[in-house]
Amino acid sequence: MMLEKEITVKNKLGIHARPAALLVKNAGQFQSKIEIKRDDIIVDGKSIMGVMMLAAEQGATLVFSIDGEDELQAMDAIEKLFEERFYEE
Amino acid sequence: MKNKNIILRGYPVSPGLTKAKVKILKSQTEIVDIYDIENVNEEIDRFMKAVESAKLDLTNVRDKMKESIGNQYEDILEAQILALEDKSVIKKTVDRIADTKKNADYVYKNVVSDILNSMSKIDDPYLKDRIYDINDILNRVLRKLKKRDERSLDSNEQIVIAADNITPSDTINFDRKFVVGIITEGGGATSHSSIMARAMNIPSVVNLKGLLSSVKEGDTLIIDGHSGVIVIDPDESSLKVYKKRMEEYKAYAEELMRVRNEEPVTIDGRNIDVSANVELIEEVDEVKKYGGKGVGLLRTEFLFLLENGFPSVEKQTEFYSKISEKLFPDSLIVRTVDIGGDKPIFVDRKEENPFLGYRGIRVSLGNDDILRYQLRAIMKASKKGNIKIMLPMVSRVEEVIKTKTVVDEIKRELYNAEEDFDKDIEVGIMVEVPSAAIMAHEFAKYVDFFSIGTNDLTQYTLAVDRNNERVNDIYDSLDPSVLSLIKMTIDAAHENNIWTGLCGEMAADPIAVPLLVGLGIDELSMTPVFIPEVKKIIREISFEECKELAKTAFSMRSGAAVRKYMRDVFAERFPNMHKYLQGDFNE
Repeated sequence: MMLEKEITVKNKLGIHARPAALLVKNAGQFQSKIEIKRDDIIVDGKSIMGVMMLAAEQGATLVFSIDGEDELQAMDAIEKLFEERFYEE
Repeated sequence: MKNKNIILRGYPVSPGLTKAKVKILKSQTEIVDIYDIENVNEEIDRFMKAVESAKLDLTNVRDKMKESIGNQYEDILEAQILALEDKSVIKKTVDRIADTKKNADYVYKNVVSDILNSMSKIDDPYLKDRIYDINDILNRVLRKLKKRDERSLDSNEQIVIAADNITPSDTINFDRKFVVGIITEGGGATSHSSIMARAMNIPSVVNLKGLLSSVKEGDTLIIDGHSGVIVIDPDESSLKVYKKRMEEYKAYAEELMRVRNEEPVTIDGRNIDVSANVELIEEVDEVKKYGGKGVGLLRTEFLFLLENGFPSVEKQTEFYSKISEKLFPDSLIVRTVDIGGDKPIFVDRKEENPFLGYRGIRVSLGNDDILRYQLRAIMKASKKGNIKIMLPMVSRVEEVIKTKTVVDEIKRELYNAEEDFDKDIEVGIMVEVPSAAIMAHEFAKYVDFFSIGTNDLTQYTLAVDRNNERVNDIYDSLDPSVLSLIKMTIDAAHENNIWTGLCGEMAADPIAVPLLVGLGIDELSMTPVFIPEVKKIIREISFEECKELAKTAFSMRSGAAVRKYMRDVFAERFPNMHKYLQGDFNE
């Protein structure tokens, strides 16, 4: 099975250096394959260069596709990160 | 052979006079060869070792940095390290080495360049900065592949460093024992290299246009960190001036060191507060070192730039609290973030006229959470009672009223949450837009102080961009139109029993100081290193004399006339200082 979920960027300044680093570090803790899609760009969620290229600003919608044994935990962890606005505010 | 004796003028950021051979810190772009390889595994191994070794270097830089200047650059370095070990980049490189049987340098450069290319197509100001960071990583790995050292400055004799600009990660490669001066083609007073030069007590001049095209490795160089003049490959006569000036400087520097802890009070007893403009925690130590009374302007843009986003309330509170504690009982004026204009963070679209666009308090009022979080952080840090709030780019009274409503709301929240804070925290504004100066009598009813930002006030009054070489000769803070607005602001403040400071570069311009004192200024705030000189001027002149000078200046019709008049006054009243003001290198 593969999980797919739309997540909206809530923090004021979007996914820039610090949030991107946090996201990649979090994603890297899981075995599952993590892909992020924005419009027609698909990037590896464990690659900081990829995540930065999304240039996701506040309000942007990202589609996360997570596939692997720990996909549930991975999705939870990532959702929490967005929910908590990357602990920025 | 004849000596070149090239004289360049820049912006002096750290005083002193020195002469030494120059070492040039070259730009970091590496040239890459392309060749076929035979053993794929060996090549991949070579590549992985280079990445590992570059990572080790960056980790070291990060740790050393933390020790020496705190964790201000930690996030940037952290992101760089992550980018360096980015699995998708490494995998792509390794795969391509195996496919094409080309050397790792060439393949890696192509992989990273592809990423940089697609990044540069996205119109996003943050991403533009990251491109620089990633380029730095690329070149680090390429140097490792070539087994070339980082641009280090091994030397066993005294040297002057010349560079386009110096980055935080460069500074780790200096052996401070041998560096006796720093000059850069770019940069400003708060660039990293400037701060470092002052911390090291060595002369430094920045913004030297044409430096790198005129200087050759090994040239002898004279740096005059007082007037901002450098001489490349000096001839006999320049060397003679150097020798003579060295002696004079020694006496002058000693005098400044003596005066720095004296009270800034005129002969006839008028006290002017002389305080400091700072941006980084490490600069706060300079305030005391040069005898400043508190901070008249804490810029907060840097905090936002470094964070590349929005610093949390906690992080901000910690930053403000630390500085407030260091300065106590002297005061700390925190300016809310002045973005837009030449500092386009958070600005999501290109503007035709950024200086007339979305910037300063306009951005803060348009983004309720930026304003609220920052004000909350400032107030949470105000326990000691020495913090004041200052708003930038205010042009209409409504902006002050709106902001003060938010301040009151936050006070109520903090009060209800039983937080400890300064309930009487003062709120002031920058006067840097002509409308604010003209309406100062209205503004004065709503604020506790003014601080005149003469850099912008001059630009807006004379409608001149000082970075535009075709018109920047018009830029002059001594223009009578600007002096008039300064006078209006001070007069309106005093009629309403509030005080007026001035925190533009003009505050540190020696010939402007007597005029500002004469107009009734209460406080002057400047880059710390200029404080002793300004104190010296104030202590050797009378308020009555200053008033007369201001009156005469007002009868003139151009900034050039005022400048000439004041230079003549200085030649008579402060002959030593007058000599250093010339910015030349003649006897």
